[in-house]
Amino acid sequence: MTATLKIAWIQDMDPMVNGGGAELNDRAMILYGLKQWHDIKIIVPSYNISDLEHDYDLAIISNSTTFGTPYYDELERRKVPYVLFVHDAGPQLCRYRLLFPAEPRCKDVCYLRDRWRGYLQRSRLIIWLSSLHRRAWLYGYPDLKNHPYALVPSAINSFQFYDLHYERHGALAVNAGALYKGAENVAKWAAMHPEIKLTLVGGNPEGFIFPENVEIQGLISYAKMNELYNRHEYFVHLPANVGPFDRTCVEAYLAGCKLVVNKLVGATYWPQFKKGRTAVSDMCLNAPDRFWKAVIKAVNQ
Amino acid sequence: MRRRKEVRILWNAKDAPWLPSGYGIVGKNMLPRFADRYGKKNVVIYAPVYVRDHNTVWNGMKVLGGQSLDYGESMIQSHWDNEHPTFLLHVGDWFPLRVVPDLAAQDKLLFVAWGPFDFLKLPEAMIQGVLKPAWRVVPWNEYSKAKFIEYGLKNVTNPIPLGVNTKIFYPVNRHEYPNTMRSLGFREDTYNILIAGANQRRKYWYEQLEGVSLFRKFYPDIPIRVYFHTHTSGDMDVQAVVHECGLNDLVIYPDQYTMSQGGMSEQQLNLIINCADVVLNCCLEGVGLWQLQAQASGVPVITMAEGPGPEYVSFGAEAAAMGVDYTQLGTKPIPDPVTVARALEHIYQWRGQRDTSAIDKTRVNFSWDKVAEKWFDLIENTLMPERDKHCLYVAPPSRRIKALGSSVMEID
Repeated sequence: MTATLKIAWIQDMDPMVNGGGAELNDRAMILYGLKQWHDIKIIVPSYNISDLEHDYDLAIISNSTTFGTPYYDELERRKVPYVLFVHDAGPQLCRYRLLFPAEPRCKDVCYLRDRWRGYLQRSRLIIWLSSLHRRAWLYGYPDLKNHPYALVPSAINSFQFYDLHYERHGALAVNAGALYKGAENVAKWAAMHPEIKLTLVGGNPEGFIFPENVEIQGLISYAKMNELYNRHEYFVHLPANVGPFDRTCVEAYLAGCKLVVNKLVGATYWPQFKKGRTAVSDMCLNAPDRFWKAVIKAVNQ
Repeated sequence: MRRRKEVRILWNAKDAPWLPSGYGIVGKNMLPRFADRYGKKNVVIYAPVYVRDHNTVWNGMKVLGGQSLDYGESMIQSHWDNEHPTFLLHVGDWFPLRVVPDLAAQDKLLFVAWGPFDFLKLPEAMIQGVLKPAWRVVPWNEYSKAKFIEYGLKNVTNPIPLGVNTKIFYPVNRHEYPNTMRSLGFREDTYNILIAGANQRRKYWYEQLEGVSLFRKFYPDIPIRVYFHTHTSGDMDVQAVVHECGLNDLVIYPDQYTMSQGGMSEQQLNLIINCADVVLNCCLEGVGLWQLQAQASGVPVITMAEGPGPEYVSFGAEAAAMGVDYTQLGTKPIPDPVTVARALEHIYQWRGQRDTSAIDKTRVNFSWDKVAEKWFDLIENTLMPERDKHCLYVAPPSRRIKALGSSVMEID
């Protein structure tokens, strides 16, 4: 039996309260960890950083830009091992967390390398969401190639996203109105398929001009997403920058959509996508177990 | 010189460059030099207090407006994002900054603080909070440099002083300006003391005037005249202080209406300095422009022993402190009237003389061209090579990313 751990879970937003993709993922991991009787204290640096002063067996730093190097120094001073659970490119790889350009200067010149290299190398484990996600990081930090790591997909609730066997029409894109989300690529695809009506949910915040077969809608509540996916035949996701995982793709896929994606969608690098929806569903349901096994192994080393 | 074309400066000083204040003078002299070097389009001025809700142009350089009466920090991020400067050059008072250091700590902008440490002590938390996130701290003098380093800052450069316009401040034969002498209350047979500075408590006018009063008591046979170039209303009721020191019969003030409308021209100020036998400016200043201007004309100066005064004054005397004052920010030395009187006594022997070595030293070390040279060297040989490390604007995806993005596939 594995001993339970006292864990500081550090996140910029409380995952038990907030509902972004990273927070949903963290919530699933934390709940699973609590079921394993780990004592997990959520620390939001802007709110309760003083809680870091207690004794911990481990710190898991998840999606935090405000947990700066002085706090890492403090963890090291108190000999608390830490695991980095990375959700995008920040803050150590690129200050533009979703817009990592992967230019040569990112590798050779960027000031973040000197600042963070040591801390990354001294972490017990780095957890990425896909092999594409890891590859992006290794571009900036090639010296992490042999560093202990785990790949853990997003813990999507497959009981929430499934095929309702509705009649399906047209294509759907979610939050693709921003350039970095691939607005240009989506527009190009829509123009190449004028016979397909594309519904773009999430608005058009940058005022991008889409072809006539694109209908733009506002935000939809998360609870209604399964139904939305089920009314469309295709889910179009063509980001312009590296997507570490892109959970909407997996949700849509589990809900029965055919995916139209490019090679910047991290989720599609999981081999389960070659085996079908059941394999992908199992992959997501097992994500928390995979997460904690990797963490415990790293702590016990 | 490296990469001159890529330098783009966002200038942030308390006063606009068209104002006659110290900050205005700095802007008036430095900005055209930056513009000559890097192009007018690459020098952008932020004048939040004086340009509100619109922008304008000054000498071919864009002047951005603000929306508040404070240091205009509310607009800094927007101006940074729109103007894409290489760095923000903040001049002078760094103590009030809150937003700029915060943004710098989050790597949202790079700022260089060019300013003084014009106290004996300041709260360490203030220095660390405001100046630690700065890309570089450029002190105005060696005193400031030593203090910044003493307070643990690791980003301090060699000093770059403020300058003096040596085409305006130079020796003038006061005999050719009898009217000016008369308007100041000066005569050839009197000991002509010029006291100059803002009407602010931190100038310790009472103690300095008390020093004049003591000198008068020590030497009742020496006829003294004082021209007190300041606003008579301000932090202190200056006339009441003069009265209390028993100097009413000696002191002449400038026309207050003229002072309220921007004061006198620099050329007039040069004449005033040259008419004096000594300039009394005995407090811990950031730089003390009057001291520099006086030295550029070879006129002796009484300066404070503590602080950067001795770095600027090679012809003059120093007065010691008799105690320490706790201001709202930190501590300042209070000039000792006895040593002020002694300094007046010491300088009396040089009455009417000018010192060419002080003139030469000031011209060589403190001309605006020299100041600009030091800036160009710092920018081009230190800052620009580092600038590439900070990606402050979003770069487009690389070719490799674009290639991955353009291969579309279907997954069923």
